[in-house]
Amino acid sequence: MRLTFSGGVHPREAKDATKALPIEAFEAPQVLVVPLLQHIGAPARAAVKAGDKVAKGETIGEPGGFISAAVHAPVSGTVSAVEPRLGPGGRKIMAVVIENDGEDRWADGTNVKRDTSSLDADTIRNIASDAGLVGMGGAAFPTHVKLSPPDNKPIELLLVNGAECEPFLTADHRLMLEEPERIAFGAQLAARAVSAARIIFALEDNKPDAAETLEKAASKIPSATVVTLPTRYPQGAEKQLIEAVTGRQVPSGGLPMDVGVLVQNVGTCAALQDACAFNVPLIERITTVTGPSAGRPANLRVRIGTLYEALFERVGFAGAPRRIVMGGPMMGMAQGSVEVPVTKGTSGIVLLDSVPGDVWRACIRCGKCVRACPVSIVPSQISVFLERGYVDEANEIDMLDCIECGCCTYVCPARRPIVNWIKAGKAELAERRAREREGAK
Amino acid sequence: MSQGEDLSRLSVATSPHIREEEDISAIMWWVVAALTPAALFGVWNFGWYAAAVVVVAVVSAAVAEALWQRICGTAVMISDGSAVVTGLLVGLVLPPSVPLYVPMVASGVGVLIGKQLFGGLGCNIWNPALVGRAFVQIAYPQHVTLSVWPVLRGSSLSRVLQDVRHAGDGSAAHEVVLGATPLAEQAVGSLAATDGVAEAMYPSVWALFLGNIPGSIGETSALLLLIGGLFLIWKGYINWKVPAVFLGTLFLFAAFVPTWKIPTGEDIVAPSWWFFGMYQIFAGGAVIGAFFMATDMVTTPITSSGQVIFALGCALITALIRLVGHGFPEGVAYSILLMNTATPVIDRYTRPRTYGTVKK
Ligand code: SF4
Ligand code: SF4
Repeated sequence: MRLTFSGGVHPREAKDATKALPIEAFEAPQVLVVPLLQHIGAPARAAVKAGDKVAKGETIGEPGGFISAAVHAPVSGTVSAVEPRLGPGGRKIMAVVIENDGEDRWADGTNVKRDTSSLDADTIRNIASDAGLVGMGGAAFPTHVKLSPPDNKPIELLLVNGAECEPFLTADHRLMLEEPERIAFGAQLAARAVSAARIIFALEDNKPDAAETLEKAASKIPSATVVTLPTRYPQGAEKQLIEAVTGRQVPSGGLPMDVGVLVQNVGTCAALQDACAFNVPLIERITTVTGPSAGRPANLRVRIGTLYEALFERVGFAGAPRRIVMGGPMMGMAQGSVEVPVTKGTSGIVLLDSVPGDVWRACIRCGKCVRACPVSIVPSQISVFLERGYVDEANEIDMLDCIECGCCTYVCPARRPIVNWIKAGKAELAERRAREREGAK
Repeated sequence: MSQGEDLSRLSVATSPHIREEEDISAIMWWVVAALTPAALFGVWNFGWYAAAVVVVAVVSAAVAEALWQRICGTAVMISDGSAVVTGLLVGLVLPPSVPLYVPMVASGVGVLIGKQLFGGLGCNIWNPALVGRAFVQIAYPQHVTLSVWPVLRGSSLSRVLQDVRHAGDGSAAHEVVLGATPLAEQAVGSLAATDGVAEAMYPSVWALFLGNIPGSIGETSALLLLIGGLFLIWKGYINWKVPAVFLGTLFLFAAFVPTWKIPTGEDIVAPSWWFFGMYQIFAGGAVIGAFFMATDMVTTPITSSGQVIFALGCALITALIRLVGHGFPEGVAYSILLMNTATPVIDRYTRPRTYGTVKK
């Protein structure tokens, strides 16, 4: 049986520039800007103030609730400010600005080996929380929350996501190739945390070398297998990956745990092993800096809080970039400035030399978006409704099931900004519901 | 910045940041390309006048579109090829003998009333080319259905059979046979064996397939239409199920429903089911309709299952019109127009099941 999901597209992969380049350590810059909101959920609360000395790995932001994540100092040095700074979302968010002392002095108790064999589920969850782990595939959902399914939702399978289906990005690919043991080790800990009986590592068939190394690492785990999936975007989207590997569909509005599955990105698994085995919090990540306007594309191991401009000094430009995207070109976020920091969810930085036009036409009902939509809604019809402002009508035909993958917009020969309209439509619905709740009070 | 690149004008917009290359005009011009072999064959088969008809149709469609867009003050979109497709189809479904104002009127009506009045490309309900064709059929029946030689061109089967009965009398046989289209000739031919009319009077299935037979300019060569159609299937522009279901159903209907008994109940010597089926498919506008009109993106259902229903409906209506529709020509054009009308309803009932939901 061919493992696959329905719909999807196959954009030019554009991974050749970096897929063969080993991960390079990027030296921590002089000044780091560490946002207190790098995840989905409540912002962290600053635990330091201007003038404080911090050690590497020290907590500088406490979780602002259950669905939140701690933030740590990526270097040792002095806090020069706690103030709003430009974040990758284009808005100013609270950030801790750290003057790097260049000593890389670890905080007490961090970076020390710990025996993981006796760690129980609760402890693993707490470690994940304390280490500020979030999903590193891009969504940045707090990991300890995902590791805490309610008792009535038993997890049967841990799906380790190495699909990396976005064009251009190769950070996960290199990680799987160079450090598969970290991933395998972390996956076992994650499986233990949720009592999952099986582990499946899933990746696409455009990374056969990584499949091989993972296979080797996984062979030491009795309950683990590696599956290779035909390359297609958005394979790495949770619901699509689950469908491809297990044939199950997560109920509309539900979560993977509703079908007994937990999905974790390979990078998150590696970070979980660092946290559990060495008490190292999430202060760095691998990010691919690439694209047609990148001079010397690279896979870099970067401290969280490093500004893009520092990375660009290293990578250089090949002509002026027209657009700088955090993440992949299908779902990533365009940045209006180079003074934006790398965050826990920065899987890549793509420098594009051209951008799509903004002239669109009436839908010619070619059906390409319908065939491409991985959740089998009818983007064309939804777009026709939303174009006229009919949010309720769009909602009636399952607008809210859209995963915002962008496939519809990518293929549309009429150049209709369908997913943009859907995002706006969802926002309007949410706003209206919030207002109704207000009114009810 | 050390590299000195200008980073002050970064463009910011929401994802996705890349697009597939193919746009509307790419699709339209490939459709034009797919129709070109059949059009060239039409010119070869019918002569230069046929070329004039097609050119007038295409130019009129383009001019009508440009004028309309100029008058409305919207961007002129001739280069997107959509008006050219309409004009080309109009030209190809007209008989080669029509006066040149007929393609002009047909294209004008198709583009202006069939498309622009609804709001332009994408907003129309009916296939513009067929709207144009239907209009001139009503406005100039003498030219469109009864032009020089296809006397029985597009006649419903009952008409054919009446004429055939005349032929059986021996009185009118010669004229009728001379003027007969293949659809008529098949019946005549089957009689020929008994009545002594020369067998050469009707074409073989092979000739029908290749296309050196009477008919509209671009509809006769099943072979070349098939090649163009397969190309569009390969490009992913049309769903193979549409022509398959359309032509397959028509074939089965023609081959196995005892049509020759329907009008009068009299027995007329029947051709073999194979001949009858093949003639129904290849002798008229069914092939061009099934590949190039029942697959029109704008006016047919958007999902594959909806398209199958659409094709099935077209085939049944075509068969019905050919069987019992007195005075109605052909059937293909009207069946498609009728099914166009049903498209929104078909769309509503064939919406796919959303991921993670149970079919309502
Ligand atoms: S409608 Fe949503 S889920 Fe479907 S293709 Fe478009 S963006 Fe993706
Ligand atoms: S891809 Fe664009 S033109 Fe085609 S059906 Fe979808 S919205 Fe319409």
